[in-house]
Amino acid sequence: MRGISTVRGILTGMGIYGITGLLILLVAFPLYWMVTSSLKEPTDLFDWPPHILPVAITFDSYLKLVATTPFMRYFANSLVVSVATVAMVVTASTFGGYALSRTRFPGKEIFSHLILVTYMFPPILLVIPLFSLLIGLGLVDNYLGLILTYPTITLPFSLWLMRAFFNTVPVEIEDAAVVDGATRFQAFYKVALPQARAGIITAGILAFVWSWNEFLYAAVFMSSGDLYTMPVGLANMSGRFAIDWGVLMAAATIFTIPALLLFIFVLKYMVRGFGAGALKG
Amino acid sequence: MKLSSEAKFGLLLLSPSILTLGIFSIYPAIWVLWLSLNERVLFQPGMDFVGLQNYQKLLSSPTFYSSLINTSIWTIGTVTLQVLFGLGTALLLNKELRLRSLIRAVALFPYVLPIIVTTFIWSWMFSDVVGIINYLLEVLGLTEGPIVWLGDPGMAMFVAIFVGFWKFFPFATIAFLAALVTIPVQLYEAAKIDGAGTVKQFIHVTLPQLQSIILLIVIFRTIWMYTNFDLVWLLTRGGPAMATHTLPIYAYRLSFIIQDYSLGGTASVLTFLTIGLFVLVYFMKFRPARGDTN
Repeated sequence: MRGISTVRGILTGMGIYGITGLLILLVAFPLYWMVTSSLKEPTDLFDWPPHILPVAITFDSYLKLVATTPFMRYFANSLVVSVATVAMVVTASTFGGYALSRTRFPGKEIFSHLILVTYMFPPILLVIPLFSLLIGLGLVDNYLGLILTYPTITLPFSLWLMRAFFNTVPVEIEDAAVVDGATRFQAFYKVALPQARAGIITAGILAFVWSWNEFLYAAVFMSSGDLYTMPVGLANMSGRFAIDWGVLMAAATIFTIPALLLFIFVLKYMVRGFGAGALKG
Repeated sequence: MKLSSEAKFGLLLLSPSILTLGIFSIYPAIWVLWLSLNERVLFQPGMDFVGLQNYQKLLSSPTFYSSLINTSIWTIGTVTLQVLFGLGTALLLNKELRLRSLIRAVALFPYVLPIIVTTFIWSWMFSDVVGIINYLLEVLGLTEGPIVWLGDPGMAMFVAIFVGFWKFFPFATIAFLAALVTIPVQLYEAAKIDGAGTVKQFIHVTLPQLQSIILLIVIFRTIWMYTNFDLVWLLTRGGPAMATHTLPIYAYRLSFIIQDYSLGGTASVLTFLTIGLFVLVYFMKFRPARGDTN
């Protein structure tokens, strides 16, 4: 009997690692293909059969990308909008989450419900009225048009997340600080805030990933090429000329790097803090 | 009404959120509903109230129904694959594997991979002339000539569903992983004592414990897949021959290409209402089950 169970154990083990291998291949091969395509000689890209390993490595596609497209400009635009959005979401959600967790005020119930409702609004529902609103405010073709509208996507969840985080922080320490002469606001940002670090980081990542990725609002609210964010700039690059796959793969590779760095840095927070918030997208 | 200092402090802290969500989320949502009941001519101020005329126009258009069907196929396909694969990968990544954190990192990476990058990579891999997928299929002897993936109306939806599944399954995996760690170990120990093997443990412990999160994941993924615009648009632009023309793409085209804001707004409201109706029915049907597990 023991023999059978050992054999079964080995088979299960092999099965598990086999499936894991397939999973890794399914995710990693496309990424490998992106990077190697960006490093091949542009003419090698059209060889048949394709070269699984690059024959010669060259940075021609990268040089061409920087020399012939406003790539750096798009990259900078994306960075400005994303960083500002993260700042907005993190500030508003730590303040608001703390208020929802610690204070009582008239209308709190209604606000809480409204926040849940706004979580459910898909961007496609809001893009038309927002465009109209931004025209009215003179904010079309303006970084602020995106910086003010992007937070609405992740802020509802982040508020609930921060509220939940502050709920787990014992209120006694803050009370003690107030007794010792701290103001209410000092008790908030000196005592409670540092304890909610994991929540703040999670809220920040979600906001960054969303704004780094976002295409619809950016495509509609920015009509001048100077202000295109990366997704819009790249989408236009792929449509205008005969497709230069080497250049597109180079652009895709560079655009992925900030997301990759962030991802490595925050992986440990991902599973713990994200929970149901990871579902929107 | 005089506010206490505590209430003032709370409202002050919440005010950035209230302002942002009020102005840029709630107000536009109400405004688009109003827009759908009006006729708005481009570049002209003001609107004419036309009642349900926009809805009548859309509901009598064949494009609306073909888009509705495409959206449903896309949603059912991607959500089913995501949830099954998400559960499978979560069970796998929850195990004590060697190099677990590295494997996790790789498996979850599509979560942060920008959608434009995702669509670039897969368009390139599914390219009909020199695409690596056609090559691999040929090498494996599965196909003879090249398959025209994205250029063939019969194929484009399959490709879109596959790419959508690939990009979004980590959303489900992460949520499942978070739920798996909350299952008490004692339940598994008790099941083992009763002689339950891996499969029985999964059916009698894991699944019932995950019931509420499965329902939640299905509902949320359904909402976000149904209303997804960017992935399908960037992959196919709704084509070829409107084979992947979904409701969000319809709303976008009506508003920003045909530039009929009223009709585009109506299409986006109908997108929201149809999925809202589904969610309502789903909740009414499954609520008792949810009550059991809580």
